[in-house]
Amino acid sequence: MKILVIDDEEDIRRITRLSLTKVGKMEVVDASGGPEGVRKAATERPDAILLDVMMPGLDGPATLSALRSNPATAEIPVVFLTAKAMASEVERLKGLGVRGVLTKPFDPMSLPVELRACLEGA
Amino acid sequence: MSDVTPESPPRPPNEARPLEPGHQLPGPSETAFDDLVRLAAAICGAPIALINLAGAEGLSCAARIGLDASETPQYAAFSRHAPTGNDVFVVPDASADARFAMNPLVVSDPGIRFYAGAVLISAESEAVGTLSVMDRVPRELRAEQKDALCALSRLVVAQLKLRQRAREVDQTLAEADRALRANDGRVRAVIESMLEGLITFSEDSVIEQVNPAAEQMFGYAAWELVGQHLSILVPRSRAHQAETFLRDATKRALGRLTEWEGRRKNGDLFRFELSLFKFETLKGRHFAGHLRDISERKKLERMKQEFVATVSHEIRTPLTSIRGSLGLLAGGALGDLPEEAKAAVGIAERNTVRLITLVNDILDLERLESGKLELRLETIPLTSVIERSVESVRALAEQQGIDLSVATTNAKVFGDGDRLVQVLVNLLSNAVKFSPRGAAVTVSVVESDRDAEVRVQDLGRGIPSHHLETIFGRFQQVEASDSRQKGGTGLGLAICKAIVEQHGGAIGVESEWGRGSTFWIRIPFDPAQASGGLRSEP
Repeated sequence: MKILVIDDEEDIRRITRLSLTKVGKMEVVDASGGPEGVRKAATERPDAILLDVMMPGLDGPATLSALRSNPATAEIPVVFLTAKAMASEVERLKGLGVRGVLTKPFDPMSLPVELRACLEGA
Repeated sequence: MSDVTPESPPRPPNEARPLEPGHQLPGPSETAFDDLVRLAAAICGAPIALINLAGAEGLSCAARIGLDASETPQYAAFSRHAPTGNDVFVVPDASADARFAMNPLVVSDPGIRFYAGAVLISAESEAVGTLSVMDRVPRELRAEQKDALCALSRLVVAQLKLRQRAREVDQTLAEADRALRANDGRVRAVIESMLEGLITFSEDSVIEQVNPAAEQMFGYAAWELVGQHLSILVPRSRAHQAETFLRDATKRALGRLTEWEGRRKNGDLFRFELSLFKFETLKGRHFAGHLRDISERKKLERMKQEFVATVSHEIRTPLTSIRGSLGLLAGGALGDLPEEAKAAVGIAERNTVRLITLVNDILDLERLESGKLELRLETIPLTSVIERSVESVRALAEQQGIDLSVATTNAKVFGDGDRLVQVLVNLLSNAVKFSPRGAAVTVSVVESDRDAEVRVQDLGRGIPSHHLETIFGRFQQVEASDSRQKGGTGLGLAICKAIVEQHGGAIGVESEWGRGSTFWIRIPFDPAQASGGLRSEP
């Protein structure tokens, strides 16, 4: 399973990559922002995208609509990974048509399981 | 005959006393008295008639016909000899009467011969003046003329009484007016110095009064607003439906503090708090609104929220990296660690998790206390809340060897299931953590007519009485070492209290040091069901 991780924080990209590869035995490609993420989604054809919400420039929801507007990436399942923990905010994000919303800080040992649950549960 | 000299006009008979100062001086043009002397002259067929009234300065003429003002004092001389009582005093021929023969009015011009006078007797039986008629030829009065003169004299007295009444009424009115003005001044001073805006308006929403605080708030002068429709103060987007909006506003804000958006003269919109009250005057029903500009407060609240959101994000991001790294190390995802390293990493991970919980709790509490946490209220079976909570702490209880004894209930409460589970989990895990190994924690339910009380009882060390008051405050733990030894942030009970109170419920504890504790929460039933009985099912 190939996951595209889009997050502007390098440390978090690295932790996420370690968690998904070492614990989840997944393949990971990453991007440091929305525009790069949109490009890589088209070229790398991941099975799913783990998308940060608060990013400078193109933020999570904007990146999502860019992905949706391109037929090549429109069907790729997306899961948000957000540091915003407010229940109302999580509900708003779920309403944007993603497979799930996971919150930071996450437990790296269970992140792959939770991600799979989001993707399979839908 | 000094008593008849014009310099010292004698008093009328019967020791006539002056009336109140300023009381007896009707002007010469006062028609009622003028009419009465004209009537007296006509009835008696005499060319001269006059009314003399007793005053502080002696007698003075209140009305006359047939002679000049300058001559009038001298006529008083005749009155002095009038008898008391209701009779008419008649001098048929003064030149033949020793009492008057030498009087200047008799001796020289106008050459008075005949005099008839009726004494004016007040209701208090005091002589207050005379009504007299005179002629230049000797003559008599017929009985009916005397009667008429007496009747006229009574009319003069009645007229005097009326005037006195009128003056008293005037005086009372003037006093009332002064009192009203003084009171009005006080009320005005209070209204004008109020920090709160005050606007009064009629039932049809026409502005009637605006105080300086309200002038300043809306940027209008009072004169620009008075007489205008209230819609001038409402955002333009709403102005076209002002009537409906204002009707709602009066309904919503009557006797309550509510929040509204207003429009200033320069078009700026701002938030204000409004509470209305109704009052009635002779001109109908009116409303008065107290207004407070809360735009500054709103700005601060927004800044605080933004700050909290930013801080939350900024703290969570590094915590994500730390927790992630430690988690991977402790979980062995990056290979086996030496025992001591594993222990050190474990400590670091646990404390990171604790820090994250603390940040979450602070944010929760912040949102709860600012009312930003919206509850999803619905009618839910209490037993499901209890079961879910017990499930969450079962592992912890087994680990501590604690027996969980749970009552079942059919009660349905009106609440947010997830939030109530959060509260009960907190109470249950506290009970488990503070119970001695092998002891029982009991959950029971007591129903009243308006709410259900869930009681969580433990047999732990209990809470000293001086802590019972503060235990629901922030960072209030019974012992400073508790957060380290038992975990928890010291915010758990504060969060529970905020959640329960947002439900309209209550939370409390009964405890004695050394004898365990019972924490209870009361959650109300569905208000619709409580007041309206059972709803019919479709």
